[in-house]
This record gives sequence, structure tokens and C-alpha cells, in this order.
Amino acid sequence: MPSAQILAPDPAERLAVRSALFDRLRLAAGDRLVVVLDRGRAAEAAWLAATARAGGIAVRLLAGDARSPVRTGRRVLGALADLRGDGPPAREAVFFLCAEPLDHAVLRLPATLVAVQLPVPDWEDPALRAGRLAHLRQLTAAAPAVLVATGGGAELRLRPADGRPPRVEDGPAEAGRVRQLPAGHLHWPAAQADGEFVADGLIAINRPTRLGGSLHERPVSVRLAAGRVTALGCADPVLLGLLERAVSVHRLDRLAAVRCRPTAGRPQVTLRLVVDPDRPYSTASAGLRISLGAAASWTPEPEHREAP
Amino acid sequence: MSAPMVQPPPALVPSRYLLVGDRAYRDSDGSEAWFGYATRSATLIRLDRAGAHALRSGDPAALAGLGPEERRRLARLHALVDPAEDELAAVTDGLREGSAHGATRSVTIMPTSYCNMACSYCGQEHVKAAHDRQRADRTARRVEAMLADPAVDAVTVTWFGGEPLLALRVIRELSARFTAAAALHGKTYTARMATNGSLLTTRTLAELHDDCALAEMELTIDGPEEVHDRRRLTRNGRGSFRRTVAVLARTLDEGLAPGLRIGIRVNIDRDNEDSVTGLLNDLACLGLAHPQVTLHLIAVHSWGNDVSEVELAARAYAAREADWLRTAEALGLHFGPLPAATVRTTCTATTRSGEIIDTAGRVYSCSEHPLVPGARDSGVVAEVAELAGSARRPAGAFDDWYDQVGDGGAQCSRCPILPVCGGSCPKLWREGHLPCPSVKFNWAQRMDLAVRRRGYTPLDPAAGR
Repeated sequence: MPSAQILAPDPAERLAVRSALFDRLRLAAGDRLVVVLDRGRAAEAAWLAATARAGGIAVRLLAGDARSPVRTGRRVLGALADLRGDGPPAREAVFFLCAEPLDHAVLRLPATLVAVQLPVPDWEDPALRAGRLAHLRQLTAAAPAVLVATGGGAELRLRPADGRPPRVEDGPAEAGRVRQLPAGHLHWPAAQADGEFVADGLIAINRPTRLGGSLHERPVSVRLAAGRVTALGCADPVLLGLLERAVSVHRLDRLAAVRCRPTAGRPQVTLRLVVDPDRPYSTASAGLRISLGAAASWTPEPEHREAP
Repeated sequence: MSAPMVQPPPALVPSRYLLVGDRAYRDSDGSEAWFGYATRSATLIRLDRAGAHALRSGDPAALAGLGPEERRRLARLHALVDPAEDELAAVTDGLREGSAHGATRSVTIMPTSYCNMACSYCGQEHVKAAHDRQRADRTARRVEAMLADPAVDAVTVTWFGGEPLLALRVIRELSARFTAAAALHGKTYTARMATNGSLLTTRTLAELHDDCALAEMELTIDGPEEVHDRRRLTRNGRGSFRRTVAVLARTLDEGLAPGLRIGIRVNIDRDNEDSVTGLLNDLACLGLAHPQVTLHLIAVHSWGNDVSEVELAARAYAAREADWLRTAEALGLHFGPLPAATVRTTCTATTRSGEIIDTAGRVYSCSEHPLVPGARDSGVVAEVAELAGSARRPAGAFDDWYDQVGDGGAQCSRCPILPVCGGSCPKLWREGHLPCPSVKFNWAQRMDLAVRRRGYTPLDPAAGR
């Protein structure tokens, strides 16, 4: 039996840990879990391991290697193989307690593996978050447009495109991609977007670069017109070089989706840019994706106004 | 009888083959760290502040203050040496020994002397010639004899040209004979290839890897599409960039040649230097930041032709290269910041265990002789038909290179990177060119990359930029 000390000390945190393991990863007795952790996340890893073991789940903890996602992926597979041994088939999952953005393909994990990531120690009572998500959905569903305001007075106006309104995504993690936690967000596919967005949260690139991560000291500004990127800005010349090349040569200029996470305080808004499927530069870069996030205000607009 | 006099151990001194960095770092525990690179052991060495000062200054008191354990460690890594040791002689003796080693044989085979490209800076003269089955058979018998020789453990064949993939059928036929001979005699056989990549398909790559023992392939990409296709124009006028990178990316993505190491070589001169960063970004977007792919940035040099109009000065090139390598590192592209091994022999021209055989069955010692007007005739050291069995080739023009270096008659005799460079290219030295690799001039920036890669952070992040 786990000692009381290793379970999360706060009841809300304990609920969040249980929800992550049993609702998002849908683990059950006999399943296997690898927890990959950054420095400073040992206490959370211990909560996870203790809760999982109490539920009959085999657990292995691993230190992550932010400099080499491929190496991390290899070590995850090795740990799962160790846990598996000659045991019977069971559900296998990975829980990343890592700040760096992670991508299933970059980690070279098999498409059948279920994975979640909690980039920051955000163990909130799931019921509170669900309440905020419901409120956000209600506000947005009724509005013809949403104004997203980010740093420096930048404003981006979003409108539904092709009659596809935002939807709530709040289900369990799916195999083949690293699901971000806390789970539950508003997903707006193919929104029409006009204006400017300044990303100062996280950038995720589905390539094994060392440019992913926090944009706090190197915010990226993106101008969009009719859902397409028209201009970029960033004080980091290396990051800007990659982004400009991705947009101008590889045609990663299409806003595929907007995601709004109802975090406490300002929501976290993420733009997902993809290569235009109708005119990819090369099959080799057609799958390139870049996500840019920021803490933003999310204001439904009752009437349509001109683009900012 | 009096007791024999015990001589005190000599005070060790810093090796002439030691480079000491001038930047301080912190490790993950917050401890300060400094670094040196001993080229005699090709090792990056962590030091403390006192150690870095002692090695940089050579101050006997500071060296004596390092403590016996630390001095022993540094001596083991050839960072500290006995002052009586003739280090140049030790290095050149090592190179001579590596060059004389006959158990590993290297044969560069040109299955064709034609190329489907006409690159502006290439010094080769390409000619179409019908495949001569008898000559190919003689070449095959030469390699088979090496594999049958009890004194030989391993043979490496490098497919070279012209463009070797124009003669894929010859490569298939000869490879089948080589792999069979290696299996018969229990020897190691591996193949490498230098190709322009324009004729590659995923199927060809997988076949070369699976059936022809291809372990390493180097192909050249000289810039983003518009630059590459202008500089490396195929004779049919079509560009090859987009097709080549798509084949590579698919091969890697689908794991079609899992053990194959792929080198992407970028030949850089004044014409394309401003487009290198764009290419690095493209390679990252295209998914070529992959553990199987290594980036090789190379300054264009004379290949017997006059490239003085476009050639970059060595120091200017090295300074720009340091920036490109920093960008490549950020983009996740793979490369070796510092040489990780000492050189056993400089090149094929400095070991009689290495040879180049052209389509006419002529044997050369230097890879820059065949197909180059003038050298094509003067550089021949033998005909393959004349060589008995697996006998090593006759001496060529550069087999005395280490005598020249050892005598102090070459600039390399005084160079701290000789153990990891070997003198780079004896031919270019003798022609009056400076073939020094960029690491000679940008080792400090490369050391910085190697140190950061190990998880250290600079105390002054802005320094060295």
C-alpha cells in the first residue's frame, strides 16, 4: 500500500491525478505506465506512481532528456519492454511530466501507444475546469466572432469557417499523439482569422529541433489574413529563420485550428499552423506542423465588425 | 653498497596538442567548469578554474598545484606530457603505423567516369565509355583476392565517380561477388558511396543497403532548391533537389535502410554562402534532422581547377561556419562539433592499403587524380592487371607525407590539430593551397557547441557569439 505521504497532499490534486490516470489514460489493473519527468517534478511523479500502483498498474519512472527526444523515446520503449517481460497483453501508456513540447512522431513512439503530457504542475480539481470549459463553450457558441487579444495590443478576430463551429474536446487520450493535460479545451477547426497574434507561451514544432518550448523571452508575432499567415516577427533570428522558411518555402501558412484552454486566469490560446494540403512544397515537409500559444483574452463579439 | 639513486618523475608540461577554452560554464549542479580539447586523444576534457589556468599558462607552480590524481588523468589523456617527449615524432609515428596497417584495406572503385551533372566548381572531366566486362572482372578479382588474404580482416569499397549510380548494374554485379567472397572467407565487407543523389529512389537505396552492404553514403546538396539546382544542374537541364530530399525523407521516415549512415555534404563558396542558413532550415522542415543523417559543411577548394574566383578564405569561411553550426544545432541537425577520433591515416594517398581503381583499370593513390586532366595520366601508380593478387599498391606521390611533416618541412609540423587532421590533403599543400579544415580556426566555437551539448551552460551566455 502506498504511504499517505506520497499521494498528493491536496484533495483536489488527488482527484486530478486519479482523473489523469483513469479517465484520460483509461488505465486499469494489470496495465503498464512509464512516467518521464523533468528535474523538479519528482513529487508529482511519486504521486502518480503511488496512485497507479495502488490501482494495480505496473509503473516505471524515467528522467527525460530535453536535448534528445529520440533518446527519450528509445528509453520509454525500453522501460515498457522491461515492464512487459513475458506478461500478457495490456494497455500501455506514457505520462510526460516535461515542460518541452513533445511530439509522438519526433519521439518515434509507436502509433498504438497512448501518451499524455502535463507541461507544468497544474493539478486542478477536474470539476472546476469542466465548469469553466462549459462556460467558455456557451459564450462562444452563440457568438458570430471571437476577439483574441494578446500582448502588445495585438488582436485577432476569429469567425467560423465552412460552418464549422468550435467544439469541446474533453475525452480520453487517443493513441498516436501526445495529449496535453489538463484535458478539456475548445477546439475551433479551420477558423477564419484576421489580425495579429503575439505568441509568448509555448511553441511546438513536430521536428526534433531545439527551438520548441517557452516563447517568454522571444515572442513570435503572426499576422493573418483570411486564415493565412502573411507576416512573422521574432527577436530570435534562428527561430524567425525557421518560421519564415517554413511559411515562404514549405507553405506552412494555413491556420488549421485554434485551441482555447480554460486555464484559471487568462485562457491559453494556441494557433495550429499546417502546410496547405492543396499546394505542399514537398511530400517530405507536407506533415510539418507548428503550434504557437499565448495567454490571451477570449471575447465573444455579438456583431460582426471589420477585421482589426 | 649505496642504494640506487631514484630519479624524481619529470614535471609534466602541457601538450603542444592541447587546446584550452577561455569560457567558464556551469554544470547541472551549479559547479563551475572549464574545458580543454586534447587532440592526441581527441578528447574533450573538463577542468576546474585552476586546471584551465595551469594548462593555458604552463606555469610550473600552477601545474604542480593540480594534485597527483589530476596530473595522472591529464597525462592519460595526453593533455600533460613528459617535456622530453618528441610529440611530433610520436604523432607522425602513429600516423605511419596507421598507414602501414594492412589488415584493413580500402578500395575506391569508379564504376563509371561519366556524370549526369555539370557542377560549376568540379575539376573532373567526365567521359562516357562503354562498360568493359573484362576490366570490371579484373577489379573484382583484386578485391576478392584481398578478402581471401589471411592477413586482411576487412575490406571497404567506396563507390565513386563520375556518378556511380549511372552504373548501378555494375555495382550490383560487383557487390554480389564481394559479399559472397567476404562470407566465404569470414571477413568484414562494407561499402560506401559518394553520389550526387539525383538518381536515387527509395527502392535503390534499400537495395544498396540490404544487398550491396552499403553502410555509408555521402550526397551533395549545395543549397535550397533554387541554388542547388542552379549549381548542380543535370545535363538534361532538370533540377534534382526536390526529388532527392523526398527520397531521403521517405527512406528515413519508413525505416527502409535502418543501418545506413547518410552524409549531406554542402560545398560552400562565395556563390552559395548566403543561402546555407536557408538550406539548414529546409533540411529541418523536410525531416532530415535525423540520427542517421550527418551534416558536412565543406569549403570549395581547388580540384586541379581554378576556383580562386569563388573560393572563401579559410578564416572567413571558418567564422561563418561557426554560425551555421550553431543554427544547425538549434535545428536539431546532426554533426560532430569536434573530431571524436584521431586520424589513423590522412587519406587514400597516404596508405598503400588504400587505392583508387578507375574504369580503365588504372590504379591511383589519390582520389583527386582520376578524371582530372593531367593528373589522370601522371597520377597512375599501376594497372590493376599488373598487381599480383592482394599485394598492396606501389607507392604514390604522397606516401612520404609523414616524413615531410616529421622533418618539420610542412606547416602541419607546428599545428596543434595534426593528430585529428593528419594534414588534410598533401596534394593541396604541394600545390601551394591551404587545405586546413575549419576546426583549426573555429575550434573554440565548436568546443562551445560540444560543451553545451553535454548540458553545461555558459556563465556568460553572450560570450562566444
